[in-house]
Amino acid sequence: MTTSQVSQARIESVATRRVKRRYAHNGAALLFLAPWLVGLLFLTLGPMLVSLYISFTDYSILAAPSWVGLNNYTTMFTSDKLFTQSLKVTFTYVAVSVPVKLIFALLVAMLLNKGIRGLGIYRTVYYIPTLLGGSVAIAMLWRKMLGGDGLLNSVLAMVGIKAPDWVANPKYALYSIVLLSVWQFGSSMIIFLAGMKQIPPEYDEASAVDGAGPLRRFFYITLPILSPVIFFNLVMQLITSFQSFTQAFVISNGSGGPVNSTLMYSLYLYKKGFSFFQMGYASAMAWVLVILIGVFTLLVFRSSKLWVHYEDGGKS
Amino acid sequence: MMITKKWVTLFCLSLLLFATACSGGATDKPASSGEASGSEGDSSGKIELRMTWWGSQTRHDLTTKVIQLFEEKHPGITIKPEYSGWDGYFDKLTTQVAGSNAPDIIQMDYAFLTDFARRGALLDLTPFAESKELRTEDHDQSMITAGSIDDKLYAITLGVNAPGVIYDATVFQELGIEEPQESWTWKDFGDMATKIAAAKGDGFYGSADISGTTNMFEVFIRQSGKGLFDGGTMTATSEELQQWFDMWAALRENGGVTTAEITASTTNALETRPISLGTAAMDFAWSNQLLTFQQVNKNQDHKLGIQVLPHGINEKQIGEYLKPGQFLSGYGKTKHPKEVAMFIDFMVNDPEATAILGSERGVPVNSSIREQMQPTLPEAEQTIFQFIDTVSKHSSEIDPPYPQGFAEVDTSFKSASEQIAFGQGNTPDVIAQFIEGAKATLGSSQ
Repeated sequence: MTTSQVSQARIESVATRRVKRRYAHNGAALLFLAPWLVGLLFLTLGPMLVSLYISFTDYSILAAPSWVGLNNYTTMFTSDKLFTQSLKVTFTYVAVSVPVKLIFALLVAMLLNKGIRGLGIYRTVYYIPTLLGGSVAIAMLWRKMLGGDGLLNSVLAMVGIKAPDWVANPKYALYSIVLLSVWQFGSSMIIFLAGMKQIPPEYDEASAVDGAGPLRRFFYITLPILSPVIFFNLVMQLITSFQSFTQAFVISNGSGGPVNSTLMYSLYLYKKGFSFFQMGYASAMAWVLVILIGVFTLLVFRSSKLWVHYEDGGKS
Repeated sequence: MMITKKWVTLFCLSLLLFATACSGGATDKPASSGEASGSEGDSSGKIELRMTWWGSQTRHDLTTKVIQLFEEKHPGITIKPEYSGWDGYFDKLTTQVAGSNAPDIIQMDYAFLTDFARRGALLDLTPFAESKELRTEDHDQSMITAGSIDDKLYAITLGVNAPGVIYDATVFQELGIEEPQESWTWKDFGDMATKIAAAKGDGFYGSADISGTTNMFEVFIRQSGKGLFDGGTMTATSEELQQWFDMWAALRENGGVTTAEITASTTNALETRPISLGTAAMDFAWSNQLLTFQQVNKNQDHKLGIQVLPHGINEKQIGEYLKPGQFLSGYGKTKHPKEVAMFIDFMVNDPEATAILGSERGVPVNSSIREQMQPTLPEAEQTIFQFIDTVSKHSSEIDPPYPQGFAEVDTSFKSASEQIAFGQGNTPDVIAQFIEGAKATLGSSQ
């Protein structure tokens, strides 16, 4: 053989070996990913597809599903007054609790960022509600505390104020749940705190030297630099608060509150599916919720171009 | 390849991802109770059944005693109890049936019997009744009919009940007001409630506001000579609904019954009812609940009594009726139908078991057991027996089981009453909405 033929052969064998090694690497990667892929397929994707199918049927759970096409969806938007009510309740809840929670978290993070002593303790204490708050136990406690003869009203009575039953009065019941959500500001606060620690103090010092007051510094330095973090928190809180269920369920004792004032979307979905034997309708509601959350998230993403400043100019 | 640190890290990471994927990212994870599907018989021939019921702590204690007695008499069978309160019981049961995972022995209610039976969730007990494994000869025929759907026996009555007004006799005596008589009317009830509230002052009410309780409204409708449901339609007219809601509105206004807020914060748990908390003198409930009401009352020295529901003025028929308080059914997909039938037979026909249960679920359905039991009963239970006796003399036939879709109509009735109580919208509109909603719900569920 000629030298070129020999080197050609050697190059080919090296290439083959490289290809074989790449496939071997791919195989290993697939093997490690397999458990997660199986979980994704059977516990997430699979049920989602089944749910999509069921949303086009009339399924009472106790009997087999029967196809009804778009019936569930049309009923939802044309003749279901409780559906409209649940949307109203959920929108109110999201519109109030998310901004209040984020603003509160930001304020507390700013306070903690001043470098007070015992920062670690405060951080932990403020984070605990987030850990516990989603639980049934806390929701039940909240209900007792804000109820007619609860702790809050007893304290108010001592000062001579006769307060309404915050949980059983349709005007206030939803806000009891909003309060419970705002109480769980800890996780957002920690993320804000971490974000603030990344702001180079030179910006603040430089602008202070130039004569910028604390308010100006906040709006022109801190906020813009924090905006990616705010963006992240906003999207996360938006998504979770749209799906909120436990608190409304426990505080209203499963009923959706006095006169449906705490009938959150997912609570109504649950009732339709499990109490009223209409799982097809409930599945349709679930998909509408997915689309709804998707639309709002998309809106926030689109709007982010206007107010979110990335340090590298947003090119990443 | 060598097990390097790289591979170990990769392995741990993918395990972590697997765990995350499995948790599905939900913030509320249901506490998995580790229930096995259906029952299991292991190699030693031991059979394990699961049983579910709703009730108060009193009922739970009595029922678990009966289960222990059964297990002693049948060493090869163990029964695992799963009990809860009424709220959420049927939601949970529906979910379990959906997962083909329901308990073998199910306490069932008249309101849901049709739904569950027609959808195949319950065991057909007819063959066991015919073979006498499940003895029904001493049972009241009307109770057997009540437990049958489409001529098949699906449910055995656990106790005979009747709706009634539970009242605090001690308060009545204290105020010098005559206790409710069998012949009393809604007007008498209103007057009594108003008088009591006026005498006791702020914070005490004559009665709980039950304007949103479909069961009791049903009695009101029966008094006009018809059942609340006829086939797949709700029969209440807007005039009748107006009359009902107006009566309760007037009583709310003069303090005779609980305020809208208090009513909204009360649940079906007997401990939370105003009469138990010592803030009302009357409540509307079922005869078997008298026992628990007596036990959970804050003022243990108060004696409670029970009377028939007030009669309608110019009523066409008596609204009172005898009702199967609850049933015991088997799960349609149980793996041990014979043992299920055996237990049901034990619970309603065995003298020892029925002695333990007493009349906590209602008066025993087996007439010979009833006769045996009556002389030996404690006072509160004697009261119930006598009450059932009274009702059986002053009542009319029970209506057929509620149609499919009842659960939703029940919920919307309660919402309507809350709307009216809180003054949201005027009553005729709310009523019209309710009637329309009921028509739509029942129409689409048949």
